[in-house]
Amino acid sequence: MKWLVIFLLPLLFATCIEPYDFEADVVDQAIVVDAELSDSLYTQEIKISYLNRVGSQQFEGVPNARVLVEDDLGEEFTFEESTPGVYRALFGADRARKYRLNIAIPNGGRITSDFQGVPPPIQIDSVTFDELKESFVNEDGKNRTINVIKAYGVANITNNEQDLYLRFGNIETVFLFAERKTVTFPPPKTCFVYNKDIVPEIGVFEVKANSDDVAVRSLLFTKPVSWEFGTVFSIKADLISMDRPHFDYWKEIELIYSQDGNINNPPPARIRSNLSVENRPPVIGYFGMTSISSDVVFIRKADLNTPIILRCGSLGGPFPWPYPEECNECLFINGATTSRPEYW
Amino acid sequence: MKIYLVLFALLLSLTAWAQKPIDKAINASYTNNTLTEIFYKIQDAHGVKIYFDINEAPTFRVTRNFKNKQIWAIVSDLLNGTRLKSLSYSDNSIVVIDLQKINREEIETLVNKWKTGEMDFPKKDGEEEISKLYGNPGTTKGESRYRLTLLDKSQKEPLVGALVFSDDYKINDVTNEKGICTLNLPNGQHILNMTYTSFQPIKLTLEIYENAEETFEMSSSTYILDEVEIVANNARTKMENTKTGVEVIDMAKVEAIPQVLGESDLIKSLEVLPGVTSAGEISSGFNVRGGKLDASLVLMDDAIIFNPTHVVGFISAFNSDFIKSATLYKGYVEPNFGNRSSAVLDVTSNKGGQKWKAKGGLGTSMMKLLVEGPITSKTSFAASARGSFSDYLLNLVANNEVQNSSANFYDWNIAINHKFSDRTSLSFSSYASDDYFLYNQDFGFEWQNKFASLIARHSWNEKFNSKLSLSTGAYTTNQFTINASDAFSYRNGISYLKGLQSNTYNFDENNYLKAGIEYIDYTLDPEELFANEEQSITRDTSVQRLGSISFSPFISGKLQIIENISIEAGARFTSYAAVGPGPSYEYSEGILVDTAIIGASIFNKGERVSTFSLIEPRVSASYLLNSLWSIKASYNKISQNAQLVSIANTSIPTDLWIFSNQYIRPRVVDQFSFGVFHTGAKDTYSLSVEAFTKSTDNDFVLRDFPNIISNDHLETEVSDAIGRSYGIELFAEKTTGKLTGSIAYTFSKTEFRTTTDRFPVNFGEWTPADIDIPHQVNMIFSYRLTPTFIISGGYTFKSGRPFTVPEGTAIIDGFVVPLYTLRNKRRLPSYKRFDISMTLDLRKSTQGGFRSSFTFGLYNAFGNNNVNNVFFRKSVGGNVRGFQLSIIGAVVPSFSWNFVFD
Repeated sequence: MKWLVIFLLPLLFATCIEPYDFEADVVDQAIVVDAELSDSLYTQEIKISYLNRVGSQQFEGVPNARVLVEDDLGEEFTFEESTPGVYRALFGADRARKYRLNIAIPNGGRITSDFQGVPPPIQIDSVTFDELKESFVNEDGKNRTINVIKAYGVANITNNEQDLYLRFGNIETVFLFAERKTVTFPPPKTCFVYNKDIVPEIGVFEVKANSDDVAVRSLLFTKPVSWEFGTVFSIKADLISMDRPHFDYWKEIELIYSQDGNINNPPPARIRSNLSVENRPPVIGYFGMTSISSDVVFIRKADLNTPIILRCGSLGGPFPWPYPEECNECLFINGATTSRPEYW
Repeated sequence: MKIYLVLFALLLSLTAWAQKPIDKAINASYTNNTLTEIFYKIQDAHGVKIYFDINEAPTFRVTRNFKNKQIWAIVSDLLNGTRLKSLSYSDNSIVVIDLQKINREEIETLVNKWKTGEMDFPKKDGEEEISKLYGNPGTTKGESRYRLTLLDKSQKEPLVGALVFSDDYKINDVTNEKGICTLNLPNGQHILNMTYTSFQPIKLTLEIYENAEETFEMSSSTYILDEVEIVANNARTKMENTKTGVEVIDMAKVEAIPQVLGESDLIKSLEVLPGVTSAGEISSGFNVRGGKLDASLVLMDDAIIFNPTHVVGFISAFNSDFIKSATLYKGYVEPNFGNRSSAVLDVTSNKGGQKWKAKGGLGTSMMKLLVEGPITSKTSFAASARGSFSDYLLNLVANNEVQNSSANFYDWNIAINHKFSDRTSLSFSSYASDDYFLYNQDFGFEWQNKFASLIARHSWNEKFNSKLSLSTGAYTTNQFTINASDAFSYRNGISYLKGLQSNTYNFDENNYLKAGIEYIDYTLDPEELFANEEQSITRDTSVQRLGSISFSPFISGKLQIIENISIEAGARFTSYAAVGPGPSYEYSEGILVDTAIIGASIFNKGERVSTFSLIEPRVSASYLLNSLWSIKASYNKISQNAQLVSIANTSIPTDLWIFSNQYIRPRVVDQFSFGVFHTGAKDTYSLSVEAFTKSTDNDFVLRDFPNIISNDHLETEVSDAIGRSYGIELFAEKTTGKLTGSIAYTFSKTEFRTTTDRFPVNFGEWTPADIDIPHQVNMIFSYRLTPTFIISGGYTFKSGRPFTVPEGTAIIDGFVVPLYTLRNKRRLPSYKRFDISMTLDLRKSTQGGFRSSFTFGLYNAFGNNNVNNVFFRKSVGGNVRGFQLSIIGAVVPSFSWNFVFD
């Protein structure tokens, strides 16, 4: 029997995925508008950028644009530029009103949308997590197992009288990182590290009107257990309610984002946009209004079965070798600030 | 004492002088003879007797020259490599016997059979010798026309493509589809050979002095003739017949082409023909001359096969042992075929004969068995079954995703033929298959094919034949995901009832008239989407799409205008109706978007919603320049109302069949083709060049992110389009000798253009179609090292097919998303593959009993990492980059054992 297996093993390993390098044809000066506003009052953002080359995550903002959101009663909300391409305003949508976007970009282009209503909010039930072992085959073809945290958003929906279009989003993770310096001055400080190495999933789902009680548990992200959980790790997520066209936009993004080469992947295609533009350049993006509800879960070191070895060692214990520089300056960590999240 | 010594010495010298006949050294030359023929010749020429079991004699042919070699040594030499052994039985006799039967009892039994006449040589290797005299032998001047018809003796059916030739090949022709061949012969004596695969040849000694006609019946032979003869027939048929683009598939050649799991495969073997291709290793069918997958009609015994593949396209749905004949029409499509706009693959099943036979095989992941034989003297049957057993292998692989996957299938065929009389027969054929594919306990597919077909044939007289065919079939699919919050099953299916009545009147072998009518009633199963796990949020939905009725009378005929010019022409009057059950929607101002729906009408079963009719003229003409060259041209108009809608980026088994309605009109294709054909002297090779151009009207392409599932108004998800294809196909084939093979090159372009502003693709510009493969080269060869050992190989080169790349990426709410604006602007890397196989075929080593063949093959022997698809997604770190997916990126060995028992 063994010889038979040896014969066929190559077939089973025959299917393979390798990187594919190519030079993309960039659409000249195409502009991407990311404008999703919610009914919660906080400093909200509208981002205007140029289309990136494939392989780049560089955010090249479009500066000096005039960004207005106006409602159907004529009230205008001006979004001021905070950094190039990022426009901010303290804003909270009124569910009784409709809003539209109006952008004037420096080269004379004008980007507008139709009026968009604010959908009803749906209450998030919780953000939860599972700690489990996950197997994978490493580059040498060997099986490996690691401990991971899988975070989920949970929504229990009952008695919905209309179709609901939802997604979990605005995922924010924070962990606490305390310096343990090799020098005494300045004194050690504590950093809050935001969204370190998180690759979130897009979890859009639709609940038809008058469905029986529906419990949705949607994967938010998977993260290997490591020092990046610190002594305390928080996961915040929003349950975002949208209207149907906005949902279709996110569904399309999800389909494109989650391509993995499987034969049941849909063909790649142009994502819809509800923005119209005068005086080119071409514009990609969407202006959508949402209602959101949020929840946070805190994971303490003791909550995990996997022992976490702190990056800078334990109090009173030996220093790790070589000594990580972030233990002297925690702001060296990507995503670190000294600002405590308001929900901490 | 001295005198005794002298006498002894004299005796010794006499003994030496009186050499035994079997020790006689001879010079002999044997060309393409079977051992039986050689034994007969030796016996005839040298007065020795060779006793052997005529039923166990090897049937392979050999070409050998012997110089000054003893007879016993020649016999021994010829038996090398077989399981037979020669023994000296007496001074002038040799026994040839199976190694396992070398004992006195067996030898005596064998010798006695010969001595009592129970066993004897067939007439010159089974060749039937017939003499005929027509007319008065005194008339020696001038020519006479001799019309001969060749029939299968047991089935009384015409033998199509049988070779009729004189020994010097000056007379050389093949029988037409009626089994008829007409020769203009100088008055006098002729010797004609008539041969046909698996039938005993006939040697006709003919004296002809007036026009005459005769029908000959050939008996089925257990002899498996050399492939060379079959190929030669096909080459000449292809050159001489009137139609362009008709390929008679040589099943012996199908067996010789190396395949992925060692299983000979009809569908994959089509791809070595020019103009036939597929999108990749996994494809639920084949594409012909730029046609989509759904544009090829696949028939088996007149029944429609909707998905001719297993294992997501890796293996053909046909058990090659069960196929009697297969013909691909890619140019001129006879008017009795329709409703698919590109090609027709017409497969006829094996229905058994008057001799019991079993065939089977065991490979590394599948097995098969076929049994055929007589039920009564007038009734025969054939039944076959295949199944896979690959899951045990998946479980042995140290990869969770593979261990959690499953792929298996089975299929079975049964066919029965009954002859009521020499003029009337009835045949029944049925097929069913079931496939299951699961990937990583995540998602999967199931699909089932089934059909039943009943065909009655009646010959009213020698010229007028009728056929009535009734068939029904269904194709059902299920796509599912499991272990997910939205775990679902998505089921759909299509079924049909088909009737075909056709009548043919043969004025003579070159002129006929055919007329008939075809009726097909298609019904789509309700398309159901439902939660298959308790906690799934998928809401159950059921959608009924409209079915279709088609009614198509047709007429066609062949006319030989003068000796070298013939025309086949006809027309099909196609009438389609979209029928209930199902809804039909109305749109505000005729704008086909779902937000413009202003009403719907629900139609009951059979209620007519819309109709479409079209006259489809078809014509093909050929001009025989001489006995070696011909030129042909054809024009076809074909419509298609059954179309496939793919819900993924490649064809998958659960793609939807839909029918045209008042919004989606039937696709209409016009094709012109022209070709030059050449067959070498003695049919040793053939060459052809064919050019074609096609235009497609009423086509559609899917819009971006179409909403297909559970949508009963798909007209809102498509964009109207037109298409065009053109190409040139070169084909060269060597058909005789130890080395046979072919080279095919195809250049073609296939493009589409959207014609509405609703969902314009690429701004309404001409865009390469998904199946646009400009260059394709296929080479196959088969080299017979010994009579039983064959090496075969094949090389394929294809330009990469078009695919869509992102123009850039955008960061949207933190997600780095690739953005696409233009379709099919890039091409995958070109596809290259070399396959090789070695076959030890002992099935020809004896004439009866249990014989085996063993095949070892390497698919993709150079391990080319051919790209099947390119996709773009987040990589480690969340960045977007391209990845290429290879389905078979390594050498795939295979081993199979096949047997025949009769």
